[in-house]
Amino acid sequence: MRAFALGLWGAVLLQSSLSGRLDLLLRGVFHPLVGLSGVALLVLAGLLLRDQESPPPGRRQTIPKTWWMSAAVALLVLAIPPNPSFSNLAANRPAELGEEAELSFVLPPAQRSLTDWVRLLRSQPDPNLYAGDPVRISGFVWPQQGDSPQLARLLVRCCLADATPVGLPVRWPAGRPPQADQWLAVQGTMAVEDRNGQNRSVVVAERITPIPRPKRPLEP
Amino acid sequence: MTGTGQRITLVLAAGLALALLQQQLLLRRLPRLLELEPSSASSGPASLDLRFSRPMLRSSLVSSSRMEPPLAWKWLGDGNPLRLLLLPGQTIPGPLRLLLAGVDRRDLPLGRQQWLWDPRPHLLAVVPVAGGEQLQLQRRDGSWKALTPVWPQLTQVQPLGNGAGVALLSGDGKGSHRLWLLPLQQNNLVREPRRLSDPLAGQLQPLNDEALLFAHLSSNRRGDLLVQSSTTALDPGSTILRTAQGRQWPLPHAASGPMQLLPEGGGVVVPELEGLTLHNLPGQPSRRQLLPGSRELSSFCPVSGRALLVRHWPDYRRSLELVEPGQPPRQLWIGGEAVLASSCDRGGDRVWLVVSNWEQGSQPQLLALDRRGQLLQQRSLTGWEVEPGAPMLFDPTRQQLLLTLRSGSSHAQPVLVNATSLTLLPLGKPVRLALWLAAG
Repeated sequence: MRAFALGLWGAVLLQSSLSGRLDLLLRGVFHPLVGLSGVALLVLAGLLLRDQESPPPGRRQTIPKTWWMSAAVALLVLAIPPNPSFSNLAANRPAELGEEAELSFVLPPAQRSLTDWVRLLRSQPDPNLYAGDPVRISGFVWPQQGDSPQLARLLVRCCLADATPVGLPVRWPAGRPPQADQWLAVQGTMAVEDRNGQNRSVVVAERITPIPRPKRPLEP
Repeated sequence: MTGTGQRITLVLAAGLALALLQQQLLLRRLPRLLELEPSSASSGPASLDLRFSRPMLRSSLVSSSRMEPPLAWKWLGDGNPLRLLLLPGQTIPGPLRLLLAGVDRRDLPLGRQQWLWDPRPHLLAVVPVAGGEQLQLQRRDGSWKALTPVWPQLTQVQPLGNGAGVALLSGDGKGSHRLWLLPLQQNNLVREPRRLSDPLAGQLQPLNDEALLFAHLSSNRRGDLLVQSSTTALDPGSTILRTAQGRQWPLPHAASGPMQLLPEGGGVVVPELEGLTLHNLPGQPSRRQLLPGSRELSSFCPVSGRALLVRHWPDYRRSLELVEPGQPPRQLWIGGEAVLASSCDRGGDRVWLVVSNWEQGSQPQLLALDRRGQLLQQRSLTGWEVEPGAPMLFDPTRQQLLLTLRSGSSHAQPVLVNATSLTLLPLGKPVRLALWLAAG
């Protein structure tokens, strides 16, 4: 049973690496580590199986319940693909970006990603500098309490556990409230709006296109 | 418990106690101002970037901080870093005293501190003196101070965009030139009790070993310097980028005219035979964007990505165009006159240009346009000539333009122009070229 459980977990790690499941959980740079761990577990399971001695006749070997439970969980992980709600996660994570590299204006506005925009607005927080700039971004819909939903991305250094949400306020067309977690590509222009007496940059959405979740939705 | 077990428990407990102590100390540590520096880009006359050790409560900074004289200003940003922006539409009459106070998000107070800040640029001039020319700087009290020795010629002067120095091309009057860098120490932002003072010139540094036939200089707000130069008439020349940190990069671009660094940094505009191209600077992914047509770069606007171009038409007319990100160039003015100089405020909200019509006796005209090209003001510069090659430079801190104008056969002089009324204020100082030195 131990060999079976270890083998199952090895298969889980290997299958997650090969099928792209890990893209939802972990930065790509760590994927080979997970794959290698899966191979190591499979090898370990094989060695255990080889060295296993059959119990004496008439005596049953007792297997702790934890091994059964572990094997059941591995089977469930194999059977049910992960489908994380990024907006739920974003709502429960601090949005502090920390110290990041200096970002220059040199990238043309229409080529800036959502993350580029958020970093630029943070390092140069003067909304009037960007008013009228074309915007072409994509991300998932992140509902906000007392405000219209933002378009957001998750930044990760390692995995979902350290995910930091970054979002841009969007002025959505009237009568078409976007659904939480929906992935959208938004084209529009940057504008300045007054919110609670403070100016802030807001994307005036002119063209909204639903898109499938990107293969690698987490950004470094 | 064995002796080893006790020792392990003791070590673990000591580590835990140390971590708790550190946590409590950090929890009670007051917020500090880590950095205060002028912003590289601003939508107002000037702004400061502040970085704190902890995210601050912006509302407390709003209510507790003060400025004298009481100009209109606001805080931008969310917690940390923050930007103090002087609101557009006002001029800065003199040095500002800034009292900084507030609390962080834990309600712990920032130590009150007073800063003196003078964001107004200094006036630099190439002054004809006995034996040649010299670079001089106008002090705040209006007097002039020599910054360099006297050379037979001072062919080019390029203040670094961050105000940390001036690049100079001196000539011996026989076609041979030398390139120099004059470092300047500025004291335009100091914490009291230190006082503001005029820039102090450092040791003049030669930037090249051999004599040059010509050189063209350009700088950006980071303080990078671009040098296009050639040593002989047959030498195709070379282009070197000297970064503010002292690194040097050769640029491979073949240009059909003078290159210009983007003011915000990161890129260079290269005139090529097929049009104007924009290239990334070394250290970034290679990129080339082309704007075809017979155009030349006239001036950059303070807001990123905006610039004024002069377009030459086949029927010898010229037009002034405003370039904005993601949009085709927008024509603001067209005519048969030559465009001698241009300048703009913010993202092209207001544009000034000096035009001159040879057929009408070369009397220059100063025009003020809005961003749609509508004429707002016009002033004839009768009796004045624009000094060849001298730019028109806008000072957003005092809402004034700087021109180098010559009246009759006398020497040229710096002339300040009120950007709204277009009234002229000649300074009466004989110069060959007048420029602003950014307050660093």
